[in-house]
Amino acid sequence: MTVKVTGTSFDDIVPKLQKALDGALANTLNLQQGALGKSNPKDSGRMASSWFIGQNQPRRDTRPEDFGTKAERKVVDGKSVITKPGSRTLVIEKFNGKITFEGAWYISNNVPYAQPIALQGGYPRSWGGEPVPSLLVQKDWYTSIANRTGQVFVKEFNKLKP
Amino acid sequence: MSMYQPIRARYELAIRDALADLGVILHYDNVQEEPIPENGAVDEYAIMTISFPSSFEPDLCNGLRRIQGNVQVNICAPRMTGMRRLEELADAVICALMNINDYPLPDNVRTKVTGIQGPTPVLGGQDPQAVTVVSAPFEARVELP
Repeated sequence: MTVKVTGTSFDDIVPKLQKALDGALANTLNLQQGALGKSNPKDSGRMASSWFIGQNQPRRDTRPEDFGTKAERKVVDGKSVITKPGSRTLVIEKFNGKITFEGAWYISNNVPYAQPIALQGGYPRSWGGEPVPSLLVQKDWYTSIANRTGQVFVKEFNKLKP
Repeated sequence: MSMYQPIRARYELAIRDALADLGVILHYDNVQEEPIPENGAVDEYAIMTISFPSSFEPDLCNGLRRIQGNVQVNICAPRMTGMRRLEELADAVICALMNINDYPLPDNVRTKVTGIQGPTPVLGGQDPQAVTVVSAPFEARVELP
């Protein structure tokens, strides 16, 4: 019986590892950005389309306020009712450049109402009455994606590692 | 029995008991989802959400399943009273999460959180409640009967 063990020289393995790390990080950022955009509750789609990848600092810009079409509503018995749904537009902006395993990377959203939508599933009541039905979603849609980022990276790296 | 039910039970019971010691009610998924009355309550309460974003995990062996999930607890307390109470409640939740395996029920679950995010305050708007959020991904092993 024989057990065979083969090795690879350090100079040979390092570039391959670097390439795998770059690819795993790029895949992770793109997958997480896509997952956030798709899971984000949508009316006009402005927030869902405002998840951007930033290098070394979070991006502060957002889609314009007139992005997509907001739902039309009327008040019935004191409650806001949707008469025409919003456009729920989703445009995912890919990072313009090469993603490498170096420095800090961010996926950020800077619309003013991002935090309550991401962490509470809807607008605070004082921001416009009843939340629209599309916002009545699982409250942890954001944290369940964000908290899995490490696992996604490991999975992607395992696919690409030499 | 669902393999999710005992995992859910472990987290719900542990956090319910941790908050009950401080006199705060925990609302679970699909139970009293809208505890806030129309005119806006100022009561303290917490809302817990558990999800299982990755269910395609292989059996470790017959009758033993490994499941990954996410738990989020939104803690609400009256606004304009400072952060002490919110953070005291968040601390109780975090302690419960950190010691989740010490909780005895149900006994066919082994679980651990793999990181805890928060407490993250959400203070926008003028609602009577201020909110702070604690979340954590977790892994669990469930012995099925």
